[in-house]
Amino acid sequence: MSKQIRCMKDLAVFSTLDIPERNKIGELACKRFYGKNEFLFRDGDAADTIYLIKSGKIKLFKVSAGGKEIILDILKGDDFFGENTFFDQAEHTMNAQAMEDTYICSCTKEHFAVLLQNPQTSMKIIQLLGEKLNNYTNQVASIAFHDVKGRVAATLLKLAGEYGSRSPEGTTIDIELTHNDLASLVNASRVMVSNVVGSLRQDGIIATKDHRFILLDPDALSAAVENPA
Amino acid sequence: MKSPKKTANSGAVDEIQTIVAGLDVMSSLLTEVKAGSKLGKTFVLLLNLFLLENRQPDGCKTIADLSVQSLADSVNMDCEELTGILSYLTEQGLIDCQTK
Repeated sequence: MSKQIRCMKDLAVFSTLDIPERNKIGELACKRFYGKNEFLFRDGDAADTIYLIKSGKIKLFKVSAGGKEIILDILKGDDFFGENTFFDQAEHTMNAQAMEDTYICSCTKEHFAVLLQNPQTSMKIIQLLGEKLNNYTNQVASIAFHDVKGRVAATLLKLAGEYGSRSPEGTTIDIELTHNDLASLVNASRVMVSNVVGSLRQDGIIATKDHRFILLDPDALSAAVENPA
Repeated sequence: MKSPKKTANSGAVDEIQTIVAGLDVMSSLLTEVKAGSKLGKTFVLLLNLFLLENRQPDGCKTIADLSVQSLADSVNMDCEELTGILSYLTEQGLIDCQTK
């Protein structure tokens, strides 16, 4: 049980709760390790569990009718998913796969409903869901209104905001991201994305090291979003 | 343990279910847009057309005098197929389609 409490109490979503309430969460939650590339659930699986990421990264994606992998989101520590569980007899409508070794805390719909008795936790969950909705809406808008360079620039800036760590060189995006992953995120071909990345690298705006992107000149990247070629 | 339905903050659960339903719609739409499906292409075209329009006093944007035929021609599909897509977008609350 002490492991369960350790797992949950550090999550931001429960940061406003007092110790007895956190202990209650510890009693309700389970903890599990998922290895890199392991699936947590697949599209069509019964949705009966809410997942909270303790550490690691999870990729949410769908597969199009043509068999193309469509990445919807990349989640990190403190993010939660599996929200379809809030509906009765629901199914997951996407796939969730670990991008790296990941620790997950989870609880059932019934247990999560108990946690929602706390208004602060409810508000936090609503806020996080609202952010998810904004993220999907922004992605649709970005595809509609930006060219590939603008989309790559916007995506790198967004990822830097969420996963960036400062280093002497610039801001390193702390995710192993292939050109294929980036292509799926921005909805462009891998070749096109490689060309854009090559161009940004040549202009000294970004660099890459160990499959990680480093933002050398975020202002120039922002300009690429605002002023499409 | 008490029954979740009785103990949960029902207002919050309702709010959460509304947002989750919206998330389902947007994730499906995002998939269609990224997959370049007919639905996705139609929605992107409509977004760009709406972008050109001024906002009305009620906060909405209206594309006036756009025939189904001309829109169908723009996205390279027949009117029946396009009507089905417009119906879907209307059902999801994303657009409101009024015919003269």
